[in-house]
This record gives sequence, C-alpha cells and structure tokens, in this order.
Amino acid sequence: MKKLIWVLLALVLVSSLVLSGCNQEMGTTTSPISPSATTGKTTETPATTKTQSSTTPKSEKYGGTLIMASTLPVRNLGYPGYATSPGDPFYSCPAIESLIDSEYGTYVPRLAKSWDIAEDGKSVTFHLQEGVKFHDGTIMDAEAIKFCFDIARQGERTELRVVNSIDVLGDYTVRFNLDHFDWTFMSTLAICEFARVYSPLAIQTYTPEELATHPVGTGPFKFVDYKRDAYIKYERFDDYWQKDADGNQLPYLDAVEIRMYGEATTGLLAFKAGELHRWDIQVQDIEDIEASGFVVSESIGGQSIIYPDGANPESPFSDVRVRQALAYAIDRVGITEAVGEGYWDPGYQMVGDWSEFGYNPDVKGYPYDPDKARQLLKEAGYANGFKTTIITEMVSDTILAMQENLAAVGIEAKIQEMSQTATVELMWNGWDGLIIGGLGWKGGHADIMSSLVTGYLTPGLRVSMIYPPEVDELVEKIKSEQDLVQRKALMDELEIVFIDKYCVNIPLFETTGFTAMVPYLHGMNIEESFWSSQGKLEKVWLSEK
Amino acid sequence: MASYVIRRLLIGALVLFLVSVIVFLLVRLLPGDPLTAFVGEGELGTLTPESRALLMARFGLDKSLTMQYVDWVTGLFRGDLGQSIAHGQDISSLVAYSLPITAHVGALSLMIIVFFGITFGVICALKRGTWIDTVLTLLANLGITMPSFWLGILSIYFFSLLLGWLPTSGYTSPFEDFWLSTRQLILPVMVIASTGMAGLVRLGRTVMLEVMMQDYVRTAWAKGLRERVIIVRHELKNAMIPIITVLGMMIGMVFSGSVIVETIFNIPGMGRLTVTALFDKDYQVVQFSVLMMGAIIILSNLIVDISYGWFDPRIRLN
Repeated sequence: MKKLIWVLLALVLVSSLVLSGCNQEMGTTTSPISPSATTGKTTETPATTKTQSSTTPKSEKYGGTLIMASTLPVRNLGYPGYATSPGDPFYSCPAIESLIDSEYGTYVPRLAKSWDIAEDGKSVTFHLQEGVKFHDGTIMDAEAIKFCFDIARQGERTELRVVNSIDVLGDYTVRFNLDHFDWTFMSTLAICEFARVYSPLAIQTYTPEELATHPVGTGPFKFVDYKRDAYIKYERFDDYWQKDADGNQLPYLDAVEIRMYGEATTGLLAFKAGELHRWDIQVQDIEDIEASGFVVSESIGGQSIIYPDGANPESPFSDVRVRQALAYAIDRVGITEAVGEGYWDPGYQMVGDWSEFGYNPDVKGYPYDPDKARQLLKEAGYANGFKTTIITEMVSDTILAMQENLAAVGIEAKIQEMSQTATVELMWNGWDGLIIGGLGWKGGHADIMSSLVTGYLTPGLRVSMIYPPEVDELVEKIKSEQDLVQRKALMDELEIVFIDKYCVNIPLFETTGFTAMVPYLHGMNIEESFWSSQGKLEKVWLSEK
Repeated sequence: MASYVIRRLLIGALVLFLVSVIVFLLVRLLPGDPLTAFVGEGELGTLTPESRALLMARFGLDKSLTMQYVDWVTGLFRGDLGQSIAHGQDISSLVAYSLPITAHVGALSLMIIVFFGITFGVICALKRGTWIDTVLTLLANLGITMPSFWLGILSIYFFSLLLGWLPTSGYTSPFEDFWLSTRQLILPVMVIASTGMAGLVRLGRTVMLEVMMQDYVRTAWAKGLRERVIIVRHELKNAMIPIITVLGMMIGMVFSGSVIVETIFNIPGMGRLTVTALFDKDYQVVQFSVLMMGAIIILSNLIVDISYGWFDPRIRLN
C-alpha cells in the first residue's frame, strides 16, 4: 500500500512539473493563430473572404510574423549556378528576387525594369531598377548582375550556356550576348532558382555550402537563422527598394518564418491548430478546411500526362494508331468528375484553355470514344488487344480507373508502382509501356516555355518517347521566334501536329493545387504566384498579429 | 573481465565491418541515385547530359563502387565521416547537430521507460489479480499493439488540435527555452516510451511473479524482513537480469524508433536525418547512420553483459 502511495505521489509531482509549463503562453514560434484566437478550437465559422477591404488604415498593415511551412527539402538557396530542387524557391523567396517574373504566360519586370531584345536575337539588354540594395548593404547594379550571372552560366546548371558573355553598358544597363535567341533563356531568368540575383560580396565571402542555407539577396526580408530540418527565419529589410501604391515603405511584415516538416499530416495538423498561417492541401481536405473557418485558394496547377514508349519499335505504341486508341480509351470527363471533385479539367492538348499563349481551340484531341479506340486497335493489328504496363509513383483511384478504361478496349495494363526517383531514372534510361508523368505549370503565372521544356524538351524522354522531326522543327522555331503573335501561330500549329497528327504523348487532366490560409492573411495572391507557396511577400500583411 | 571486454570489442569490430559492407551495397541497390533525389523530378527532367555529368562528378558518383567504398572507409579512419550530398555539408557537422537532439529525446524516453515500466511491472506483480493489475496489463497490451506512427498522429490531434494544450511539433533546445522544450517533448517522448514501457511492464510482471515464488523470498518473509527490503533487495535485484537484457535491446529500439517519431514530430535528430537521407539516396549519411546504430547496439549489449556481473555475483565469480 505504501508503495502505491509513493508511486502516485511521484506521478503527481512529475505531472505538476510538466503541466506547469502548459499554463504559460506558447513561445514565439508557436503562437496560436487559429480563426478563434482564444481557445484554439473553432467555435464559429467566420465568413470566408479571399480579399480584404482596401480601406484598412495603412498603419494597421505593419507588423507581425508570417509563419509558413513545407515538407520539401532545402538544397541551395543562395549560390548561383549550383543545382537546386523544387523547394528552394519557396524557402528563399523572402530574400531572393529575379531579374524578371513570369505572369500569365508573359514576362514582367522585377529587378530589371525593362529590356530590349536585339532584332537579330543575339542579345538582350536589361535596364535595372535603381536604388536597390543587397542585404549586406552593397548596391545592385550592372556590375553585380554581371558578376552573379557569370558564375551562374558556368555552373552545374547548363540552361544559361546560350549566354556567350555579359557586358556592362552603364551603371544600370547590362547586356547578355546570346549564341542565338531562345525563349527558354527568358524562362530560366524568370523561374529558375539558380538564375536569381545574389550578392557578389556574399559570393566572394562565403563558400557555396554556406550560401546554400544563407541566402543574401535584394528581397524584402533578410536572412536571420537556419536550423536544418526545423526552420529558416528572416526579418524585415528596412532598405528594401519597393514602396506600396501610397508611397509607404515595404514590406509590411516584421518577419517571416518558414518551417520544415517531415510529414504532411503533421503540417496540416499544425495549420489547423493555429501554428501556421498557410499550408498547401489536397482536394479532399478542402471541405473540412473551409468548414473550420479557413480560406482556400487555388494555387499552382499542372497537367497529368501519359508518356508511351513510342520510340521502341517493338512496342505497340510505336504505331500512332495505337497511341490514338489509348487516348480515345480514357474517360477523362468521368475521372475528373469522380476523382477531381470538380476541381480538375480534362486535358486534350499540351496547354489548357487557361492560356492564350498556347491553347488552340482547333485541336480535335481525343474525347472519350471506346468504339473508336477498338477500331483503331483493329486497324493496327491488335484486334485482340495486348498487354502493357503502367508505371506510376502512386496507385490512385485515377490509375485504377484508367486501367479499367484500357481493359474495356482490350488493353490489359499491369500497374507497376515505383518511387519518384526510380520513375525519373526510367525516364532517363528508357522504359517499356506507359509512364504517368506530370507537367507544370498552369494558371496565371505559367510560362509556356517552361511547360514545353518539362513536357517535351526533357532530354531523357528522347530514349523512349517519339520525337518526330516535324515536331522538333516547330519547337526550335517557337524557342527562337521573338514575335509573340507569330510564336502563338507556331504554338497552334505545334498543338495540331503534336496531338492530332502524331499523338506524341497523351494529356490527361489539368490538376489544381490548393492552399489553405487563415482569413486574416492578406496580399498573398496565391493565384498569381509562380510557385504555389511563393508569393510576393512584400505586400503581404496580417490583420491579426 | 578485461580479456572478455577486449574479445567482445574485436567481435564488435568485425560485425561493424560486415555492417558497413552490407549497408554500402544495399543502399546502392535501391532504385534511383542521389542525383535524381537531389534535383527532384521537376528539375531533373530539364537537366542536360552535361549538367548531369557535372553533378555526378561533384558527388563522387563517377567512381567505381570499390573506390567509393575504400574512400569512405579510409575516410572514417581519418575522422572524415564523409560529405552529405543532399545538404552539402560534412557529415560530422550534421551528426554534431542531430545526435545530441536524439540523445536528449532518447534519454528522456529511456528514463520514463525504466522508471514507469519497472514500477508498474512490480505493481502488477504485487497486486496480481486486482483491478490495478487488470488495468495496467490492459494498458500494456494496448501499448504494445499500437503503432507509434498512429499513436503520434493521434496524440497531436487530441492534445494539440482539440485540446490546444501542447504544440504539435518541433524541437527547442532546453538551454534556449526550457518550458517550450519541455512542452514540445511531452508527446514525442511519451510515444517513444509507450511501446518500451508496455513491454517492460509485461516482462517485469512475469519475472517478478517467478522470483516471488522462490524459496529465498519465502525465507526472507519468514525472517520478518520489511516488505520494502524484500522487494528491492531480494525480488527486484534477481528479476533484473532479463529486464536489463531487454533494456539493452531497447536502447537500440529507442534510437531506431526515433526515426518515425522524429519525422512526425518534426524533431531534427538522427532519425529524421536518416529517413530523409534514405529518400534522398544520400548514401554516405545512410551508411554512417546505420554504422553508428550498429556501434550503439554493440556497445549497449556489451554494457548489459558487463552489468550482469554487478547484479548477479554468481556471474562475477564465474
């Protein structure tokens, strides 16, 4: 009996010691920021709004710390030319800016206020913003750009190899001399992390490994601290070059913290518990998130594509009729309604109708028609069907539905699930059958050239996917055509040749990503951001600090 | 004793050599390579063959397997743990950052496992057949069957989201903010400790019941010794041999179980480092982590074996 009393007493003491800490407010890194700030539970559902009234007094916009998070790893945030990974733009966006930005399929000024493309396409001259400083106090001028990009174009990433040299024409005028004009050069400047603007002083002071987690740029926030697998912190850069429409100094926020989660479920729970201001969610979470009082915004989207091994002469898919049969066999509308919950769109060509720069309404495409599919297979000599493999990273309802569709026309598809790295490895070395791949990006920020690059110009795909010379020629013309009207005409022609004539690959669905935000987060403008989690943070503000 | 320890250390070194070869080969049998994991599918697709070759050279992947192994092992003997491909840093700096965190979480978990596991096991044995025994045994069975991943997510949902009592995740050094550190560690420590505690309760109960039936215990009662003296000096001490054996295994389990818990609770320890290194195909980090785990297990088993002599004089004399 005495023993039991001792044990219980010990339990009480330990519990009181621990729980005494719970009475204090959460530390600065975990301040509650749920819709109902008093209890952490949602007791009511406030009206969800995507935009805030512009009559808010400007002084109330200042202050607060924006807390975001991601599950993506950090690779290289601050050294030009070194390889980067998809998460890097997100983690570095508070501090690093690019020369130009991509919006709605075209390019807009950022650190370069304007540019001139030479008539012969052999050079692009950028006119830089004046009065821009790096976080270390040095000036962003033409010399700085030349220094930074001379390193970038000779680094591990070869997208800037088209640049032969860089000339300084004035304090704020710099010319890139090209081997030949290529729109992917402009696309690289707009969207590639390694081709952003970094401080030359920092590059000369720190090693690439140090800069990889210590970015020094011109952005609205300057680097403060980085803890691996935990967070990266930034604080307001008082000498930031931009002001808002009323002439007030930007940014509005005091600080930005980006946390790193190893598990997406933990991130979602952290968001719902009020520890984050925003989090990327799946389509199936939308209803629950909105019911909890948060705001959901459509963000980055992409396209799901089937890549058949048409270049393999022994494959049934080497026959264009079989590829077309495959395209006719899939019920895209049915799948998008069932799986996409109304947020997906069927995809019938390389670029969806959200883009004026790439979509061609004259493309016939391959609407669902299993009878037509069977007829084509019969013409190709596969009246009894054949067996193939679908290689995918995840066996989802979509894949299973597609398997059923193919079986209905006689194509017996075995599903082979592989990791992402294994799938990419196959794309480089060749595959048998069908690979389900992705293609970015859609929406207001999308850049046609980047879509072409990832969906067609990816070098590895040439091993197994067909590359008709006619398509290659058109793509090369598009890359170098400076006139946007003419480029659009070439894109229209490409869509017809790529899809209707050769059926090089089979677009499936236009998917959409979603970002959940607390209702008092303003100015994020997810829809206009290139990367789902990369906003122009200088104009972001919190109405509850 | 000295020759015994030296012999065990030599055998341990041989085991570590075998582990190094196996992990070196196994990690390279996995599909993909560090390059694809480093750059990611989205950007890898845009890499030219030239870029790819440059990156392979930077990561040392252009050398033969034998040379890669020799470079790695000789580096270990020089104190060079290697370079992380994913993080671009020396592995020694990664380990210097992560190991103390895992040790902190692991030590707290072990303390709870030992204290509560043995205590409740003894209580169950002493109160066998009563409602206390029933409840504790039921909880122990539940603790063993519940997977830590599930328990972790559930505890976050309940204590952080619904009740709002504790942070969902994260790690803060106790020297920076002791109370925040404590609140952040309550859930992960309890999740790691739950399985170990449950196993120890069951084992402790079984072993104590056996010991309680021994003649020398009956003699001790007959001599009129106090209950506390009988339990601590006679029963518990004789029950400790199998408990210590399991505790030695638990040291390895606590460090390996931290892989899941650290990922769920966002703790930047060795477990999280190893998991991300596996997904990133960061060969050298995986190799070193597994080797280190092997060394920890070998050493803990050795300490357990040596401690037998302290608990049981018969072993010392033999």
